[in-house]
Amino acid sequence: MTLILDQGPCLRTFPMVLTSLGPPEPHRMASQDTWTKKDLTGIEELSRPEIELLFRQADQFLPALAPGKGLDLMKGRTVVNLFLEPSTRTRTAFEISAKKLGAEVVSINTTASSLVKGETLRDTAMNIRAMGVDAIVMRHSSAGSARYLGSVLDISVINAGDGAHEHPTQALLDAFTLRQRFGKVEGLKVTILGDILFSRVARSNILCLSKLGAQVTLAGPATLVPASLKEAFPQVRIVHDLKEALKDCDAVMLLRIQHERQTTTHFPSLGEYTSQFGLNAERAAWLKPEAIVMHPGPINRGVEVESEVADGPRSVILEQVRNGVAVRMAVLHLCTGAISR
Amino acid sequence: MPDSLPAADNVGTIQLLREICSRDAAVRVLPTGTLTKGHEGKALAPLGTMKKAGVVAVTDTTSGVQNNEIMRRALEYAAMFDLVVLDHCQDSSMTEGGQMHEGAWSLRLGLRGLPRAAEEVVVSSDCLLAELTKARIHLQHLSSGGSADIVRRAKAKQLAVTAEVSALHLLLTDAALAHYGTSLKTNPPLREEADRLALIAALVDGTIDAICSDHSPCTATEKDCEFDLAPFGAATLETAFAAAHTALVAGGHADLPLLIARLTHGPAKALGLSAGTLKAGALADLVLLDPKAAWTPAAADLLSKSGNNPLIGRALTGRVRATFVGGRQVFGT
Ligand SMILES: NC(=O)OP(=O)(O)O
Repeated sequence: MTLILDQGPCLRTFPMVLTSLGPPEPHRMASQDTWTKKDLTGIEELSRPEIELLFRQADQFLPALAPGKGLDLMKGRTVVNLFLEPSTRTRTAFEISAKKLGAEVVSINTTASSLVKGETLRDTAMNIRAMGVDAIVMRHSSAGSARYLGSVLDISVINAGDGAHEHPTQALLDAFTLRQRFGKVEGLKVTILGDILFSRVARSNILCLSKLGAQVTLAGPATLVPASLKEAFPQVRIVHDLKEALKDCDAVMLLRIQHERQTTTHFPSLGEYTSQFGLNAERAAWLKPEAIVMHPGPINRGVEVESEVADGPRSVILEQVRNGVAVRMAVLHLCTGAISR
Repeated sequence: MPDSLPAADNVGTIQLLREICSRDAAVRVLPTGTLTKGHEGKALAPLGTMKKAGVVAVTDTTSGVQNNEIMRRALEYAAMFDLVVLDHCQDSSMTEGGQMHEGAWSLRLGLRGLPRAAEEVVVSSDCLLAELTKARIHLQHLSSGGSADIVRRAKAKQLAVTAEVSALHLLLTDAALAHYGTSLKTNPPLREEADRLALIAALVDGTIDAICSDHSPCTATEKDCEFDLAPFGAATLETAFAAAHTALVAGGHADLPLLIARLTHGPAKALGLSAGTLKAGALADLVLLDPKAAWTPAAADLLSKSGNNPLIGRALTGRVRATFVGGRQVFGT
C-alpha cells in the first residue's frame, strides 16, 4: 500500500467539552466550549475560540499545581514522552502534568531508543501505540514530524517542538502568562527578540499572539530576522534597532541563539550579538515601566540576557514555567478526551 | 542520468547500461556519462572514450560542477567531441541543508530553503563560460524566473546555450508543500507563482527549448518519513505530458503544437539528435495523445514501481494513449 502524505493531515476529531472544576466564569458564555482535536501539532491549526477554551481549562487546573494536589481525570491512561532532542522544561512539565492528571508516564530516552539503530519514526510510533498508549508527546528535530505522526496514528500526538517549525505549548503558556499579567492578550504589543529564523518558539508565538489580537514586532540581526519574514507573516513588524523594538512594547520575549541549528555565517560572534542585542539593565530601562521580560529557556546568561534582567523585577520567566504545567494539563486532558473510547 | 551506483563514468559501465537497455527496455534509452570521475567535480571523466561507447551527453547531475575552472576545461574538452554538457545549476555552498524553495512557505514551515540565487549564480557562470569556450551547454530543469531572464540574454548574444524546465514546475508551486508532502520534495524545488509564470513565458518565447520529466523514482518506504529525511525526487515520467498539457494548454498559455514541439523537437535539438520529428523516412517513434482526456491519476493507473508521483489524486487534462517505438506499440491504455 502506498501512503500519500500530501493530502493534508487527516485529523480524527471528536467533541470534548470543557471539564469544569469550579463555578462557571462570566466570560465563558459567549465562546465555544468544545474541543475536537485529538492532536496538538501547531498553533496554526487552532482557532481563537479553541485557544481561549484551552486557557479556561488551564485556569481550572491552576489550583492542582500546589504540592500534594492532583486530579484523576486521566486515571488509567498512559502518556509516552518521546523526546528526540534535549529538553528540561517541556519534558518535565509534560511529565508532571500527566501525573497531576493521574496518568501513567513513560519517557523514552533518545540515545536508548531504537531510532538510533535505524528504526523509522512510523515503526517506533506504531510499536509504542501497540502497547496501549493514549498519547505521544514528541520533540523531534524535523519540521513537520508532529503532523506526520498525527496523520499516521489514531492516538493523540502532542508536539513538544518540531525542528524550526512549531512549539505550540510554549506559545500557549506564554500567551497564558501575558493574559494572567495584563488581563487579556488583545491589543498588547509584544516584541520577540533574537534568533527568529531558527526558532519554533517564535513561529508559534507569532501565530498565537496574532490570533489573540496582539501586535508582534520581530527584532534582531538582519541575518536572523530577515525582511522576508514579513512575506511569511504579513501581520508582524520587523525592526533591527533595539531601542525602537523595546520602547513601547508591553512584553519582550527573548530567544536563545540556537547554535545547533546555525551555520557560522549568520553573525560574527556571540560577543558581537550581545553588544548589539543583549538585554542588560541599561537597555531594559528603554522599556515602559510596566513592561515584562519573558524567556522560554534555556537562558544563555551573558549572551541574550544579563542576570540583572533575567532575575530582575520585570522577569516572569519562572511564572512562565509554572504556567506551563497547567497549560500542558489542559492540552493532555482536551486532546486525549477528544478521542471517544 | 549517470549518478548510478557505480557512477556511469567509464566505458565499462556505459557498455553494461547499453547491453541491459537493448535487452530489457521497451523504449530507446540513451545513456549519459558523468562529466567528472564519480561526479565528484575534481577530475575529468574519459569523455572521448565514453562518447565512442555511446553517451549522448555528459553531466555531473545533481552534484553539479562547483568549480568554475573545472567547468571551463570540461566545456572546452567536451566541445572537441561535439558532446553537449548538461548542468544541474546549483551552488551547493548556498543550499546546505535546504529542503524546499526559500520563501514565505519555507519560513512558515520552518524548513531550510534553497534560494533562487543558488541556481541563478550558476546559470550566470555557465553562460559566461559558454561565451568564453564557445562550447555547447544545456541547462537542466530551470526553476527560477530569474534563470530564464539570464538565458534569454545569453541567447540574444547567440551563445550555444539551451535550457529545459520540468513539467511539474510548469504546474505546481511551493504552496503545494504546505502539508509537508514528501512526494513534492524535488531538487530543484517548486518555487513561486511568479517563477511558474516566467518559466511558462520563457518556454513559449523559445528561451527555454524543452520540457523534461525530471523523473526521479524513489520507493514508497524512502518517502514515508520526516520531510527533511526524505530523498529529493518525483516519479513524473508517466504524467509529464498530462502535467505540461494541463499547465500550458488547458491553462491557456500555449497551443498543442507548441507543447509538442517542446516535448519532442526541443529536447532532440538540445542533445543534437535527429529525432523528434514526424516525416517520411524518419524513425516511427510515436505517441498517441488524447488532449481532451480529463483524468485523476490513481496509483493503480501508473506502471512505475515507485510510489512518489505527486500528481496522484490531482485532476489533469491530456493523456498518452499509446506509445510506438520503431513502429511497434510498446504501451497502450
Ligand atoms: N522552552 C523549552 O522548550 O525548554 P526545553 O528545551 O528545556 O524544553
